[in-house]
Amino acid sequence: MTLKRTLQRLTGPLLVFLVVALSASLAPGLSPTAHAQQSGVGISATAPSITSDAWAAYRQNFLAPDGRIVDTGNGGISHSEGQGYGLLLAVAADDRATFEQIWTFTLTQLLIRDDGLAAWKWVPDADPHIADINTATDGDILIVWALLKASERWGIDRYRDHAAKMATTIGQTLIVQEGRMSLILPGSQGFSASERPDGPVVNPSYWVFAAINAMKGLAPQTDWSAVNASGLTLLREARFGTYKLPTDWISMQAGQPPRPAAGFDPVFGYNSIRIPLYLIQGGITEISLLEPYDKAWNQRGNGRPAVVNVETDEIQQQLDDPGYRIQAALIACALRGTPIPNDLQTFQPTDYYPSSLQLLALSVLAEDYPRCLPG
Amino acid sequence: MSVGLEPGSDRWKPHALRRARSDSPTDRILTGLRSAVAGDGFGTLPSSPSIRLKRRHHMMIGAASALVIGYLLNIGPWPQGTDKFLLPAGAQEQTLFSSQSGNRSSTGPSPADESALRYFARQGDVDRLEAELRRLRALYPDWDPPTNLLDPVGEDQQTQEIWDLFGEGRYSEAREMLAQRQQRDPNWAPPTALINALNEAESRERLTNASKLEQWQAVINIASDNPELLVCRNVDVLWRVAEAFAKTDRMQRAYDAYAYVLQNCEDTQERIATVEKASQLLPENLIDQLFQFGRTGADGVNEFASVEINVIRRAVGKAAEDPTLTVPETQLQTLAKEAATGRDTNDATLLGWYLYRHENPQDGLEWFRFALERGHGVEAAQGFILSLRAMGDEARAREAAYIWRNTSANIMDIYLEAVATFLTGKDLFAIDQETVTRFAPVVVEQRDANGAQALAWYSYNTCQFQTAEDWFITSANWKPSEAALFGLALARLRLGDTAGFDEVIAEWGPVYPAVASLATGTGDQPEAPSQSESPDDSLLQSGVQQIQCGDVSDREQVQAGTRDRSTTATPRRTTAGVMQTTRTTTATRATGAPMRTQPTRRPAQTATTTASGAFRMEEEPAAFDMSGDVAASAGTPYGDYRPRAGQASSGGSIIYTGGAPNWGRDTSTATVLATGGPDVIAINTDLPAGPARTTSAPRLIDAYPGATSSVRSAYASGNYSRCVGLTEAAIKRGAIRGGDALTRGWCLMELKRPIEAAMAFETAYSTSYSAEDIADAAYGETLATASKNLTNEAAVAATKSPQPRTRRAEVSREILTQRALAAYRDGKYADAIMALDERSRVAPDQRDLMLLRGYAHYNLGQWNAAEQIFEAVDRAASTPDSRSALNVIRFAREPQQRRY
Repeated sequence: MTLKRTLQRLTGPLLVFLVVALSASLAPGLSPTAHAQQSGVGISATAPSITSDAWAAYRQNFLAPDGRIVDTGNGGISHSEGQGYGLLLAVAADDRATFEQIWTFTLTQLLIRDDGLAAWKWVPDADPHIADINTATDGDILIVWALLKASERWGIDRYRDHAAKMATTIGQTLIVQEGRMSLILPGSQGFSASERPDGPVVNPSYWVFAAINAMKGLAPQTDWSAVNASGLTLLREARFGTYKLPTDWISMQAGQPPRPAAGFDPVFGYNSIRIPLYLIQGGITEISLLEPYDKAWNQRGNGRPAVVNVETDEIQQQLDDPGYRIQAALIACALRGTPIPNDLQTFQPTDYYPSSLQLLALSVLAEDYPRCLPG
Repeated sequence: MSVGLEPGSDRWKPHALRRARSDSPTDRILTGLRSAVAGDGFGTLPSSPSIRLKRRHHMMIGAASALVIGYLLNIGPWPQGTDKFLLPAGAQEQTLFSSQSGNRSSTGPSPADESALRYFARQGDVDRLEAELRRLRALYPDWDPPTNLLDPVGEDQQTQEIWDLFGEGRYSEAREMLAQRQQRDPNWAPPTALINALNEAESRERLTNASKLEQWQAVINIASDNPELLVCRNVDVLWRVAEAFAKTDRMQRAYDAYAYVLQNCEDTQERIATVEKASQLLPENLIDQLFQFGRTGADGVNEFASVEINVIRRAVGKAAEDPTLTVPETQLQTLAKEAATGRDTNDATLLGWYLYRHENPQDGLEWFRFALERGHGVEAAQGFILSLRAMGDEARAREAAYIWRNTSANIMDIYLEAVATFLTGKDLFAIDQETVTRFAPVVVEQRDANGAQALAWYSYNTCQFQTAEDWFITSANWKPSEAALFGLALARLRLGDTAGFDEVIAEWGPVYPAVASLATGTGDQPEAPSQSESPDDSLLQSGVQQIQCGDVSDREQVQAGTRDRSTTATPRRTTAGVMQTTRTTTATRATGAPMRTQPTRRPAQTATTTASGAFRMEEEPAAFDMSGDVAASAGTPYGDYRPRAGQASSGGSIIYTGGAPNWGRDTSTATVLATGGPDVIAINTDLPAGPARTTSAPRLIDAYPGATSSVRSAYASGNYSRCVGLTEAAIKRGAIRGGDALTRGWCLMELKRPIEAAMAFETAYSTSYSAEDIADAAYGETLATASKNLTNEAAVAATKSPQPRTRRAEVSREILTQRALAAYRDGKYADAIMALDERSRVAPDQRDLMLLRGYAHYNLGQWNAAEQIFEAVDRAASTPDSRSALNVIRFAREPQQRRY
């Protein structure tokens, strides 16, 4: 529903941008396992961070038998981001069988590019199913991270081997230096300085901080700390309008301050809703970084995130889905220890995107903020 | 625990074992892959087991599988009852199948391992069953396999379910179930065969997806990581890998993959498909090598014969478009042999084009002729025409192009260009009247500025300056050009029309330097086109012979060098009516130069243009002028730039609609022609003009198959007497046949001996074997009969054989024309009018026949009708003919008027 609207709104920009915008409109990362699982070899002893009931409901609604995660809000297509979320949630649920199932699809259907990264868009009624061979970097990052976590949790080396190859390629081809910044290009084609006048263009919600941290051991040739540091700098500098929020797509043209990218709506939109989740999941809870979202969502929005036009300050849409509201609650928990409302603690599947975000938030809460989940 | 089962760690590879021979193609392709990609598991290839052993096993398992499947479907070749099937056969079978399932040794494989056997047995997958049996027997030498693999007793149900999912292609779910089983039972080890099968299936799917998206490097990477894929069972994978190599310019590697299939795989359809695929990707030398793997079947035919001819076709086709490429003689011979069967006339035209482009138009011509005779239409005609031109036989090329002009835009262009070149060529005296008279209406119909200009220069060069002026105007109106306006100015000078000359200079001098230069030298002799160096038209650069003009407004001798010749030839030729026009009064003649930007600014008193020969009633019908005429109705501007191709407009601009109906143009041949490049379209004044023809009968090219070469070449070289002489003896003996008779007929037509020609055609008609020949003979007979004025017989002849549309129209037109003339001559004026009416239905009226019609009405006393016709003709183009016709009416009326 909401995703579709986002997509419709995006039809204005160039096709390449549209394509990536689609993939980007889904989101965050996963549970806190980085530290919890370091020694995990063989059968893990770590408890699942999402409940079996919630996970069963998620699978029931968004997982097809062939192992693909279905974007129900978006015409039933699948994409690398969805596969990444599915894999991460399977690890969080300690469900190796489902992980195998999702991975088999991901491997045979998406990981067919010459460079070993995932083709981002898979359409059920098209032949070939890949409708766009381009990549979406957040999808690749999520898949790498999930593979790494799975190999650690269940002791399967082939997952790690595959993750290392992908991470190396990401580092070599999609991390670009622009001035003092190490930036993540959102896809293999269409975003660099040479490909568009206001390039490079980035998407701040592609910084999955915990995942990028985890790359260090996989692809040490790339300075992943610099990538994360640049992500934080970006979030501090790209603050537009009264609410001081970033836009989904930001021009990082050399010699210019960050500004909303041409050809995209100047909105803080569905993409960016994942930013606080990724910060908190990565252990970054500085008030100065979370403040804009806390103000917009908790102080003014009464616990609801919103799509905001940063040029007009217009609230285009209040987002009521539990999967969105829990993002606001997560900030309140991380900053003030505020308990998560009961209705957000229980998982009721709605659409793929908010439901994925809700499980990811619940996983973070279970691992790092159990005190916010009373009862 | 499961680590040992991961891909790459297998110590045992049944796939490779199946085909392995040391130094086998398997090794070669695998080695190829290996060298193409970095490290992989190729080094673990097993050393070759004895082939004999393999055979034995194959037979045994084959029998077992047949039993198993037969039992399952209850359709086995043996009588019912499973026990019976197990009894016979050799000792080996007993060791495999006679022991009881319960007897398994404790060192035997687990039920999970046996599940693979059961699965393969159910699938009837003999190869894999065999491989798995061998593997397990190697691991457990004392083990006795279960008696009946279809017996569910003792099977591992859960593992069988995974196999079932695998069998249905549901790999994700198979993986899921396998992992579930492992989670439930950490001590359970998944069967190696299952893991291998899943790995292989997933890799195959992934490779296929990568191939579909042209991710060639990914295809090669996946293949090299999963060498078990590269076996005959996965021939599609082998093809895709080969394609990936070819698409990344590793042709030898691609070749290795295809060669592997041909050396190892048995399926004939797959083998043929392999060669076909290879032939589209590999260079020719490698394709040739692949063909050597072809096997000769029981019928003595090489299995790749059909592919090979396709490959040759492709190669010849490519080389036909690119003269730098050549095809080996042997391949040309192969194709020629195939083409000669006539199964596919495309082969003949293919050869024709190849030879044409490789400087052998003589042989190319024969192939085009061959194709034409078998009904291969436009494209063959085009090749035929171009070949003739390439051979320098411009006359026949023009003839053929004229006949086929309405079938394709390309041929129309060739025709227009060829005649234009001819008219402006070096040898004015080679130009026959018919060429000119039938060219003009086509030029008008096509609005061909270049053709109009050629007619203009021809008129100019033959001292018909009035006509020249009209054509120059026409040409410039269709498409202004420096040469046309330059010519117009010259023509007006010759006409003494200084006002008109000045007009051109004023209007167009600023645009075209050559025109302007005339002004500065007005007092001097304007240069004749032959010496002019007009920058934009090669017409002017041809060394046109000049004729001394004895009349008109000025008397200057243009070129003294040709004087003696022209003094004898010119006057006759001009007054004989080739393009006879007289200078009209200034009032009716075109006075304005064509407007550069506003073509409609032309005065309402528009010039009329005519190129038709005058009607000459006193002459022999054989010399009858079949031209259409050119008429632009008075008072209408025709300078608008409409697209060409006979779009007669309602406003009455160009009313002429051309000769034969203009059928749908075949534009599909454009690409073929396009490869001919500029030599087709550009005016090539270097081409020697062909021998002058005075033929009165348009012919359908030279379709006389079977003609002996001497007769044919006599005809082709224009030696008609010899052609007739050569066939004389045969016809007296009554031994002449088909092609020779046809040729003789055409030769006699050339010699104006229509009665004998008709007889020859009659013979050809009755002795020819092909439909084309018969049609040709009937056509020839029609023309011959018409020529000897036996019009009723001609009508009979015309119905003898179904005629192609163009020809039919031509024949009807000719017959009706002759009929009208004959009737008129006999004083049957009403009949003449009826014949003309009929003719009007199949062909446009032409000026001379309109006059004839007028005279018929006159003779019937229908003076008003006659007068209307004469006035219309005179309005269209006032000539002595039309004016004298009007005078006839006036004289006729005078006495009556006086009476009152």
